[in-house]
Amino acid sequence: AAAAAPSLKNAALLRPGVLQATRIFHTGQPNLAPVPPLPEHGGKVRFGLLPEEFFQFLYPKTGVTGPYVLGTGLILRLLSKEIYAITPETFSVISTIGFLVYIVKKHGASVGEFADKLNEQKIAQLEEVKQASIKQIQDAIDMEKSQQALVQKRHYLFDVQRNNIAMALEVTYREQLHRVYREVKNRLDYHISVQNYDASEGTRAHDKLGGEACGAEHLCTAGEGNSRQVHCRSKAARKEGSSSASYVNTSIPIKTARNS
Amino acid sequence: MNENLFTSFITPMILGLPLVTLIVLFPSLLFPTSNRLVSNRFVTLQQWMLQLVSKQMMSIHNSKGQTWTLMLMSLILFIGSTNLLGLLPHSFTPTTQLSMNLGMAIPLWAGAVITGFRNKTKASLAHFLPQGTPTPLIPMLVIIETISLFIQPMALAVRLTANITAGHLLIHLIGGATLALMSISTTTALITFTILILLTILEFAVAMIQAYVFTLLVSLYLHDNT
Repeated sequence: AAAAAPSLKNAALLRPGVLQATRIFHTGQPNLAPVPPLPEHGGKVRFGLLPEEFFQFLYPKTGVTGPYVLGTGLILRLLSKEIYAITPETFSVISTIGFLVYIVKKHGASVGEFADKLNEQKIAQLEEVKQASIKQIQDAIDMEKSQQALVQKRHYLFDVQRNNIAMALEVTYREQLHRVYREVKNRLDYHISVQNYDASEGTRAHDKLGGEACGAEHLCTAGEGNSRQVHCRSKAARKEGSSSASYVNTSIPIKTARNS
Repeated sequence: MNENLFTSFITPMILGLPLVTLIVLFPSLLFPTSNRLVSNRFVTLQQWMLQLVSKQMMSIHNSKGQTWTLMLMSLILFIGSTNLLGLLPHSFTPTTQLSMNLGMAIPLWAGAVITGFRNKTKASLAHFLPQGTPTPLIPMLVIIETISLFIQPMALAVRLTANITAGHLLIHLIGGATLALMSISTTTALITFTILILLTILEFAVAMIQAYVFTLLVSLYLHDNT
């Protein structure tokens, strides 16, 4: 056991194990525990001296008055034969014992209750500590349970967040789509109006000029090409959702065809 | 049974063997130790009383003086229990013997004084002169204080002996008076008996008070010297 003791034992100048080598740890079963319980009440007595069993012992033979007659006889014999002599001390006996009996009869019960109350206070104090500790642990358990429940419900939060993000993305996408639509419509409207202008006045200007230099040709080409382009563009614009990529694609072949 | 007044005070011997040792050791049987948290009423009450007395008596001391707690508590319990047991009829009270009381008082007083002289020499010597004495009176006062210091153990022992012995003697005498008056006039005997009862009550009080006073004085000497 000494070898198995912890190293703190060896820290002091004079190790405590040296002086009390046999009392380091509680090895083995201590014979003081479990302590047998104390009886709750003592044996019953009469006159504070004579046990009740004595009266029960004499009862079958002498009845109830038997022990009392025996006692009286004994006392009278002691007095008459001066085995017990009346001396000054007798009176002090009477006064002392009388005083003690009076005190015990008057205050005995209350003193006993006081002693019981002291013990009860001791136990109540410890019980309170125990209850406080239990309550603390119970509160910790409840908090832990509520935390776990909250964790279970966390996916709602994530769903909401996901939905929010999807909605924001959708809104952004639609916004951009709308913008694109507006821009494309803007440009196509411009070209339609140009075309309308060309249709109404452009040819008159062309005839007037008589097909002059490259400017007119350019204009003509541009106008025709443009009108063709506008036409294509308006066609393209009717297709919603087609981006400027289709706009570029359809215009280029016509231009090249025209040029070639 | 008792021929004269002195028979209750002689040292009890039985067949030449000193019974007094057993009588002195007997009160220790009345203070059982208990390892339990909740004991029987007797032990609980004793523990409560001991706690009360030790708190009241040792709170004035510093930590060096409080090392004497065990000594002073055993002292008050011993003197109190021997005095109270001595009030029972036909019992012997060890504290009526001056030899025993001197044996208790002198070592305790000497221990307190020597501790004071060893650890706080200047303060202990200063006790010989009270504060604020006029200069011409100093030599006489030092002598008086020295005498009063050396009388302390004597006073402790003699006070206890005289009180307890006187009480026992009075009880005996008044009991004797009651006995003598019983055959002369019963009424006077009854009056005397009443006086006896009152005296008994006083003696119970005196028994406990003397224990307290003894211990208190020793603790005062200790307080002066630590």
